[in-house]
This record gives sequence, structure tokens and C-alpha cells, in this order.
Amino acid sequence: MTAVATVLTAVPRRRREWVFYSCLGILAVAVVAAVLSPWITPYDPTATSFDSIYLNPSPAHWFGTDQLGRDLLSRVIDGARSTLLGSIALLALATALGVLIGLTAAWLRGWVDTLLARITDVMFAFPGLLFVIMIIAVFDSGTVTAVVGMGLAYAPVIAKFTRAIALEELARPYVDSYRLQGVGGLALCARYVLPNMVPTLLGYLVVLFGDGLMSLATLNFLGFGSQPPSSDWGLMVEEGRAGVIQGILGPALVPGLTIAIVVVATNVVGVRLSDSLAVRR
Amino acid sequence: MLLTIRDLNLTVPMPAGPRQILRDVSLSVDTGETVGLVGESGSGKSTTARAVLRLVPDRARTSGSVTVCGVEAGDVQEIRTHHAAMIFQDPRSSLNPVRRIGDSATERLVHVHGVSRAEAVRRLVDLMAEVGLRDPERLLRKYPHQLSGGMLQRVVVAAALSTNPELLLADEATSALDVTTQAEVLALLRRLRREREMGVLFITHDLLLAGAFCDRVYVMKDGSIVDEQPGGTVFVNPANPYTKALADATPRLPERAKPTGAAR
Amino acid sequence: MTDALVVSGLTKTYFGTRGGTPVTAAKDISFAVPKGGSLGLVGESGSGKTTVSRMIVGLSRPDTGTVTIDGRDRQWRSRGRKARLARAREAQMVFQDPYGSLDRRLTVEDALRDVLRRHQRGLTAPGVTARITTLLDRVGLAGTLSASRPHQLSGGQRQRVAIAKALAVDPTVLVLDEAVSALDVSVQAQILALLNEIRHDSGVSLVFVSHDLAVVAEVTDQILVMYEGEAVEHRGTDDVLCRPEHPYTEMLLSSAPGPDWRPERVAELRAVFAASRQPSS
Repeated sequence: MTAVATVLTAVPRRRREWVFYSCLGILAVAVVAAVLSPWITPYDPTATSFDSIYLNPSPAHWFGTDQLGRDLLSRVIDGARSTLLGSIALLALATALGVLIGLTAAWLRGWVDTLLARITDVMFAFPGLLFVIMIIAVFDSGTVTAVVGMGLAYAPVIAKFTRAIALEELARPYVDSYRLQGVGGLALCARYVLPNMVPTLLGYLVVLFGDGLMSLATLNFLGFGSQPPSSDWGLMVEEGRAGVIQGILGPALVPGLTIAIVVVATNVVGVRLSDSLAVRR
Repeated sequence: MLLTIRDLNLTVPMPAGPRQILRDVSLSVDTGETVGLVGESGSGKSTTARAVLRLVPDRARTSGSVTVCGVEAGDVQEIRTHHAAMIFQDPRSSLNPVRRIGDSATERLVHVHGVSRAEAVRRLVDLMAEVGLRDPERLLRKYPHQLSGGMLQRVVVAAALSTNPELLLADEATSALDVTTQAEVLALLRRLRREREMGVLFITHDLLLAGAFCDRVYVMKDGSIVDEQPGGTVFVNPANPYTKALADATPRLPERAKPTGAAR
Repeated sequence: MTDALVVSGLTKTYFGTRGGTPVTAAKDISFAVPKGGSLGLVGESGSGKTTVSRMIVGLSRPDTGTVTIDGRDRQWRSRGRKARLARAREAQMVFQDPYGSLDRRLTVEDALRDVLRRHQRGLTAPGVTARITTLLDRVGLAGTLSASRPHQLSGGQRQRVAIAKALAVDPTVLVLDEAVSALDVSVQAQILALLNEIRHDSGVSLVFVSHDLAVVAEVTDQILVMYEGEAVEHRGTDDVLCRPEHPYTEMLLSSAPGPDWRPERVAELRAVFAASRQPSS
């Protein structure tokens, strides 16, 4: 918990940091929307109404409606849940794998390090999206497949980063101090070294979250991930495409902007956290 | 008088409020003198030296006067170019690791003084021989990581001298070197100072080293000068309590019979 | 009476990557330290003194040679928790970097509790707290600092914590690798005095690694001078400092500033030294 506390103390306090705080606010809103979505959507996100298709924003429908008459605001709120959850799951999987590989490589060095490095290099050779599409070709489209596939695609990135900071961390004398105390390798890495790496990792992971969200949305847009009637934001953009040709931008623009705003917000927050934490080293 | 610092105050704004780093610092260095500035960490000795060349933090506020060879410190370019040169603690931070030594060391002469590259190299090679480096032409083509700390610091000294400064500022210039190398580099500096009639401001945390190497020593504590002594006094009971405390705390080798000097 | 520490024929060679010339970091180093005794390991960079110190504590394995503590060979081969803990009780080390050698997440109290829980399992919770207080007292740290983290402590205080951690294990041998080199001179003097006290009180044997002969003079009864991996002089402290036999020792002594300091002499001595290393005709 002290690791999280360390991160929290990196949060800037000056009033001039309004950019950071607004972005943090945006993320908070997104999270609240995701958590409370069944209760705060003004309309049922799946309720179609052919009387109300392609309505412009109005007091009744703040964001307007889509091609099936569904309220866009409700869909966005509903989509927050699957989009954010999917991104978090993706990141969790990638982190679990990536940190394990990176830390193991950094601790054991030698042939293990070389082997793992070569494997990650091979994975890097494939553009992430292509790799996931390959997996989907084998296992069929679906939210779970997309999330798992993307998680696997991001693991090498995290592994490389983890390895780099682990190498730096393991070079510090306190690690030798623990070794001399008789602490074995596994306990040393897991209980003592990893917590010290958390602040640096966290800043990086927050930014990667935004990246992952974008990638997942892209997959969904391409039809490889979540399927209708899901209100996943990426999928919403795809569904809104038809309207764009007719001059109706709302159904595509609303989810698109939402994605952009959330991703930018996570980038700002993540980068600012990384900077504060880097200074403390 | 080569260097005169009078009532120098330096304050730096910090999140917790302004912090005064230097407090009414006054000192002087004359031609042909080696003057030591001694203090523990945080005493302000490095800041003082850097203030001479105006290498102060951006938001620092200073008051007082610094004059080098009659030139006010405001005219930084004039001082840095023609009158003073500085060498720092870690030669590996002073030289660009991705450039050959010859390029880095002649940079000043070529770009600031407008000397031709060939002439600059010739001067540098002469100086490198003077500072005891063998085969200087070959060394010029090497990269910093290929040389030892002692050799690099000699290159830095040669480069500093290439602009013929009247005042040499040495900021812990030998602290990162092995003790035998330190002695050799300091013997070199002593000789060069004599030959070129320079003045040297020697910053160090080592009171005994300053006492042995310098003609006069200023002692700094918490941003102020608390004592000024001729060099030798630090070995004989210094009167000032802080200086005495520093001298007592510094470990000393036991006195022994003078070596006969004959080679074994 | 067996000596606390006996080192015999320690040798280590490093092979450069890509077939560079191998470097003999330590060659046939042997010495003995009695219980409560103190040996200074003196040399400049590249002398091998750090390599030897790391071999004594077990952070590095010698190619040949033995390290015997309290009559027992260090047995690097045996693995397992019990063996590791037993080896920890034989030798501990205090490092040069006061900040880097402490786990920056832990408070002073946490750090000591961690050591005690591992090595003094018989203690009850109040027993541990009492022992922590005793240790802090022993190294001259105010009890009020026990809740401080490394970044809140001065260099001297950090080294005291490091010494306390080492003492908490109750080792037979304590190795100090340039442990005071990064400290201000007044703090340095206090730590050296502390080490002398500890030596006399608890009978722990010291190996004090340093490049500074004057510092070594204060805390050792014998000195071993190393140059490029070899032992060039090894006698009692007084003898080495006042009646040196080897030209390299003379060089070191002449380099130290004093009232009759003549640094020019060092270059002269280096020539004598270089000549003495030529193979005898």
C-alpha cells in the first residue's frame, strides 16, 4: 500500500495544474458512468424507436439519437462499462505477463534473459493489431477474444519496459543488502524489489491504458471484437459510419470524441504522474 | 587583483519559500596566488565559484559584486572567454561522450576565439604534452570512455589552459581521482600556475588538502565565509572553532621520520 | 584460538566480452583477522579491494581460494533457506552509497523489524521492539527517527541505519566497503568512532575497505595494500604507515596531504614503482 501512497503523493497540488485536474475529473466521470451505468442512463440503451432516428441533440436527447433511434447519451454511458472494463482487463493481463517476464529476465540474466528477449523480439516483429487479428481468425470474434488477444500483444511492450527498470533497480546496493541477509531470489523480487518498481510502472501503465483503449476500440470498430448490440464505443463509431455519408455526424462523432477525450485524459494524467515520480528517484 | 568578490548574496526561490544560499561572501584572489575555498556539503563553495562565471540557477537573485581582472561579472562572455576558465569534478561529465576528445577540447578555441582548427590542435597538443600526456596526437582521436579518469582530467586541464586564462577555477577538480593521481595532477597545476602566473581558486571539501596546496584558505559554512587563514595554519592549531573542528575531524596519517628521498 | 576470519588464496579473474584480455581482479589474496580485530584493505581504483570484500561476504564467488569464518568454510554450494541464513550470520556488509543501500519504502523501524523477524525468530513482538530500541541506541540514532524513511535522513544517519541492520544479524565479520567515503568529514569521524566502539563491545571483526590510508589508520590494526589485484604489503597498521616497505605504499603515503606535502614526489615514486615491477633481469 505504501507504493500506492507514494503514487498519490506525486499528485500535484498547485492550483495552476488545472489541466491535470480536469483530466483527472474526466476520468473520474468515465469511471462513475461505467460503475453506475444501469442506474443513470436516461433511456434504455437498447431501446430502438423508429420514430426517433437520427435526431439532433435536444433537451430530450442531449447527444441526439442513432440510426435505430437509441439515445446516444445512454449508449455512451452504457458503453463506458464494456469499453473501460475491456481495457482494464487487457491491461491486467498484459501487465501480469509482462512484469513476470521482464522481472524474471532481469533477475536471472544469462540464457533465460536472452531467450525471453528473443521471444519478445519476435512478438514485436508483428504489428500488434495484426497479431490479434490472427488470433481472432483462429478463435472467432468476440469481446473476450479481442481482450485476451490484445493483452497478449501488449505483454512484450510491458516486459521490455519492466526489464529495463528492473535492471536499474537490481543494481542498487539495497538488493545486495537483502541478498546478504539471506533473502532468496523469489522473495527478493516479489516482496522487496517489485514494490519499489511500482511507482515507475504505474505512471507508464496509465498511459498504456489509454493506448490499449484505443487499440481495443479499433478492433471493435473493425468488427473483430464486441458484436452488436453492445454499446462499446468503438463499435458505436462503426455503426455511425452510415450516417456520416448522409451528413449526420452525431452517431459517429459522439463515441469518437468520447474515445479521444478519455485517451487524451489518461495520457495527461499518466505522463504527469510519471514526471512527478521520476523526479523523486 | 585577479578576482574580487564583495558581499555576494544569492537567494533561490523554492516551493517552501526563498532559500539563501550565499550570505555576504567576500574573497579575493591575486595573480600568482592559489586560494582555497573549503567547506562541507551545502556550504556554498561550489555556488560561489560558479557565480564568478555566472553559472547560477535561472531564478536565483544575486546582489553584491564580482569582478574578474577588472571586468564586472555582468559581462559574462568577456570573462568566460578571455579571463577565466573552470574545471569540474568529473571529467566524464565535462566531455561529450559521443565526440572525440580532440573535437571537444578544441571547441572553445575554434568557435569562440576564432582560431583555425589546425592552430587549435597544435596548441592543444603542446599543452597536452605539458600536462604529461604521452602521444597527444593519438589521444585526440580517442573517445572519453577509452581514457582513465586521471588522463581525462589532464585533457580537461589542457583544454582549460588553451584559452590562456588568468584565473583558473577548480571545483573539486581532483576529488574523483585516485589519491596518487590527485597528487600528480595537483603537482602539475602548481607548476603551471607558476609558469603562467595564473591565479587559482581551488574548491574542495578536504581542509588538509587545501592547507597543503593553497597559499591562503577561506572556510565556508552554511553560505558564509567563517574563516580566512594562510594555508599552513590548518595543520597547526587553527584559532577559529569551526576550522579547528574540521581539522580535528579530518583523519591524519601519523607523523613519521622523513623518507631519505633516495630511491630504493 | 581460531581467527574469526581466514581468507586463503582468493583469486578471481574477469573475462571481458568478445574475447578482450582477461582481468585478474584478485590474485592469491590471503589474510586472517582475529576476533575483535580489524583489517584495512587499501587500494586505488582497480586494485581489487572491492572484489575481495564481495567474495568475503558471498556476493561474488572466487575462482579459487577459501573463506573460513569461525573455523567453518563458507560453503557456497549449499542452498536452501537455512544455509542462507547461516551464511548471513557469518558476514554482513555496509556499502558505500548510504541512500542506495536502504530500501526506500521502509522506515527505519520497518527495516530493522524485517531483519529481526528473519534472524531472531525466538523474539516476541515486544522483544523485537525492545531490540530495535537497543540497536538504534547502539548506533547513536534518536528514537524519534524510527518512523523516518531514507529520504528524510542525512548521509550519516543512513549509514547508522545500515550499521544497525548489519548488527541486528549479529555477524561474526562486518565488512565496510568505502562506508564513510561519501560522508562529510565531521560525520565520518563520528562513524569511525562508532565502529571502534562496536568492535570493542561486541567483538565483531572488521574488514575496512578504503582508498584513504588516513581513514584506515583510525580503525584498523593491520593493513593490506593492494595494487592491480595483488597484495603488495601486509603488516600491522603502525608498521605500514610509519615504516612502509613497498614503493607503492610510499606513493600512497606521499599523496596524502600534510604539512610537508610534496606531490611532485609521487611522480618520482611512481617511476621507482614501475621500475620495481619490471621482471628482474
